[in-house]
Amino acid sequence: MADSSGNQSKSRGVVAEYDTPEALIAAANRVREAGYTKTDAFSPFPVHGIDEAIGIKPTILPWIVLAAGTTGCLTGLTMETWMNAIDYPYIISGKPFLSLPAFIPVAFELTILFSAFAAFFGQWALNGLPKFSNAMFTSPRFDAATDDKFFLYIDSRDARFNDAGARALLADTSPANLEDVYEDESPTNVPRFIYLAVLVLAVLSVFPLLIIADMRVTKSSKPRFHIFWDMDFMPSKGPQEKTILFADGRTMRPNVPGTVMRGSGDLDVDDQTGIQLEAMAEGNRGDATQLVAFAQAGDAAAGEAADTTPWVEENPLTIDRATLDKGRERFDIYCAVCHGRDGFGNGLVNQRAKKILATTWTQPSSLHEERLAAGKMADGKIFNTITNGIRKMPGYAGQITVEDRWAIVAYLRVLQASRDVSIDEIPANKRSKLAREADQLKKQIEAEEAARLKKAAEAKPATEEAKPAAEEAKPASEEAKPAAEEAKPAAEEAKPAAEEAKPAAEEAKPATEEAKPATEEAKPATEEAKPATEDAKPATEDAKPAAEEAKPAAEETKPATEEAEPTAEGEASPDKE
Amino acid sequence: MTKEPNDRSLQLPESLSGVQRPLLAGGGIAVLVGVIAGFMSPNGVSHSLHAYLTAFTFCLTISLGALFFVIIQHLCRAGWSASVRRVAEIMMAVIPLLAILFLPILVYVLLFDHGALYPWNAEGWSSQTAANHEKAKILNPVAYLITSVVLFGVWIAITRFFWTNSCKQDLTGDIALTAKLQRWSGPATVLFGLTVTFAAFIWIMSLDPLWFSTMFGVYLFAGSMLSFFALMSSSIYFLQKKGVLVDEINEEHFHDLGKFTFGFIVFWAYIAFSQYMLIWYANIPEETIWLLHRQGDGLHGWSLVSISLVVLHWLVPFFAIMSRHVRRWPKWMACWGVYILAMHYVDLYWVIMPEAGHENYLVFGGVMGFISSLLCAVGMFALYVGVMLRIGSGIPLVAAKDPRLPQALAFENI
Repeated sequence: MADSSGNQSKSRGVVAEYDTPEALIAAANRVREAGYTKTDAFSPFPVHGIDEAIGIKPTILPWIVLAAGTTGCLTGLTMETWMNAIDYPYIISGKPFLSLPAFIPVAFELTILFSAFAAFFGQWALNGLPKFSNAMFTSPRFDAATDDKFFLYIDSRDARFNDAGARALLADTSPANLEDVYEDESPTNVPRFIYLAVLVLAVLSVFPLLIIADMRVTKSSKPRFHIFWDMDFMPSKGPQEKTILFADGRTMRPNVPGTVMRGSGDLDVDDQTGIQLEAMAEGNRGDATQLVAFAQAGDAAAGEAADTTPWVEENPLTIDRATLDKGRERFDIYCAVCHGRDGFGNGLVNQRAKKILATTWTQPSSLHEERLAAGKMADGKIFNTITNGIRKMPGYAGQITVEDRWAIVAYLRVLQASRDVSIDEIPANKRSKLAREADQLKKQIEAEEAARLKKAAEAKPATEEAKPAAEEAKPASEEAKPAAEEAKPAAEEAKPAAEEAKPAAEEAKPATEEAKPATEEAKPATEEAKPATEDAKPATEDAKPAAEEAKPAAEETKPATEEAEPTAEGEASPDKE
Repeated sequence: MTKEPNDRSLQLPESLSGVQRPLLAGGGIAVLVGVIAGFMSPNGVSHSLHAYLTAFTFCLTISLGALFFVIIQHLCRAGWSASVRRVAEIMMAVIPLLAILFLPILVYVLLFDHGALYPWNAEGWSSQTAANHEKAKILNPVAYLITSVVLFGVWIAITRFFWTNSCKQDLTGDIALTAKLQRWSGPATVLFGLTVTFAAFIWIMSLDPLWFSTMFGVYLFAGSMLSFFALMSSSIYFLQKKGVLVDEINEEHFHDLGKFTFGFIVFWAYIAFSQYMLIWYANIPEETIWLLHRQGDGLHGWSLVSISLVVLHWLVPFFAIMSRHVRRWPKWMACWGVYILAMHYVDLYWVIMPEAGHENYLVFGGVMGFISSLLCAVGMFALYVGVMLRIGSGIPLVAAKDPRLPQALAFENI
């Protein structure tokens, strides 16, 4: 319809204007009673009773907020329970993984956060906000709604609406003014530049994320881009650094006396210390309450008699294939550098130390010494030595877990046994193979010996004294080869030793299975012999012990091959002719 | 709309004026019997003292809540509360009686106590440890006397000031009086905060002299505000049943009192939990010992009380008064007010009674102990209400000429 100004826009309803809130309420009551539902009132301040007058139903917002708050609370509790009690159990302040008092603050805050969001955005949604245009603004008189006038509006979309009826009804409430409301002519859609701006912002906001993502995967020699400077450069100390915080100046703190490291599985405290603490407490309460966190004083000779510690006698782990493999792996990583892979105490570190003539160097013990043998030294004491160190050897408690330390002890027993078995202990089906191998070895050694003698005879000895030394060095690589072969039977002998430790565990296994790992175990030894894969050093390293090894190995073969003995003796002292 | 101060519908009904004497007499006798009954409980005289102190603290906290409410109304120039303020003023005006009720405790502490009530009163306590030596500078009978006198002095002074000026206005309707009260409400707020904290520390926290919590004053304050609003709702509803204040106080005022009640339920829980959590987290022996006496291992009596506080003092009323429909329903608010008052007593019982004897670890202290606590509490409350009625008789129960009364009468919640 057209208004006085000839505007052809569509009518949206009728609005009446009043001077007092009382008049507004009276009119609103009339309109409600007439059955209109799509009505609205406008006033500069809240008018009490207007809700009832225009028939606004109580809002459902409180229920939305209650639901959101409950959700927030449960979200907090679930999140914390999942994080700290299930997914990544982590002791904080010595509290239980799942401790409600610590969880409540977060749950409380999330309750409030969710409630506040629900109230704020729920109010927007329920009010149909944001609105970019409103038909009311077409009337210049409507500006008074924020000042001193009260308006009542009936929408033309109301089911009962007809233009004349609505006008008549409102006119009957004696309004100060009455007029039609016209459709707002201004465009109702959001301006295009706003979409554009949002798009640009969205695109721009992705860039930092892309940069970060890129930096996470690319390698560069340039310094990294630090998003959180203080997290990349924390004032924390690194390992081995000094500090003034503690009297002893160490940043790396030793264990608190009487405590054991976490992650030690379900081993009891005896097995985590290698000491039978109950027994110890009976004999020496002071030592039991404060675990020895430093090297056991005294070396073998002096310490043996003085050592009254009730060491744990039995390895707590189940001795099986997996344990021994694990022990061997750990041993080769942590122990072999000093003690050598064969355990004779001539690892790379030792060789290097000797080379540079380190005056303070103490030769690592040979693990095959009599005093370390099973039955002589308790497993617990060896475990304790690995844990806390001895003499020059540092403690490995920080690097090797408790279980792995016991696995090393188990492997060490096998290693020892491999140098110390009689032929009777070897399974019958293996003996012939051993004998054959010993025979081959003997032949090989004899051939080499003959070649060496021949060579020595040809060579013009400039100085007779230099010769033994030269000889000693030269055949190293040659001797390595037999050593490799030595390793094979030795390794095979390791198995029965393991069998001895736990007969029940291994008895069921077929012999072929046992044979396979044996050859596998031999591999590293043969690898050591190959100059291609490794330099000569390991070879020479192993060559020397190999010479020593030959002796017991040859002795073992004595029952099988009597000729082996002289050869072995000859091998052990190459100068003898 | 406004009535004259001597209007019958603003005066205490005859039926209530008549019960003052029985209340006072019965209350006095009940307290005496309760104290004597306590002697026969396992903790003996210690139980009597603590039961008496619990009942006393229960009444005191309500009055302190009323005092703070009155101060704050003036401080904020609140319009809505002009019609309910007089009831709060009557509750606050009982403080002199509480000073008299405190005298037995004071006399006992000064003359007879050897650690039965306050361990710091025992012979040689101060020389036991270095901490005791330091604490004894504050925790000694002389300091106790001085502090108590100062605390009651300050409260009575503030109370008298607000009470007399408010009553003066009933006759004159002078706006200058309102301005005067407003002016002094700021300093009064500060004084109130300090005095409540010190009262909580020296009267109640020092029952376990080694234990300390800087939040303890606020904890008691939260409980006192809550119990005050609970008593407000109940007593106003009760008065309206008797036919007074019907026009002056309506569901809108109940709604606001209910909002306060709801708020302080949460505030009390918030403070209680904050105090608990910090002590629990830091795990320092001299702090945790207090909670261990109330928690200990397993579900013995006191830990059940602790859990019941969480559920019955917070969770149940929290959800009960959450809805605005409940808060706008005077009858319901009156019922919940009584409930909250009962729970507030349990709260104070939980704070004070475990100190009566840790080794016995009795919640009730046997049959005699239970009778003793019950009679002390009921008797003290009867005395308290009796004096309130005495103060309230002969004066209008609404500040009839308060310049803001029209605002209060027209008050509507959005």
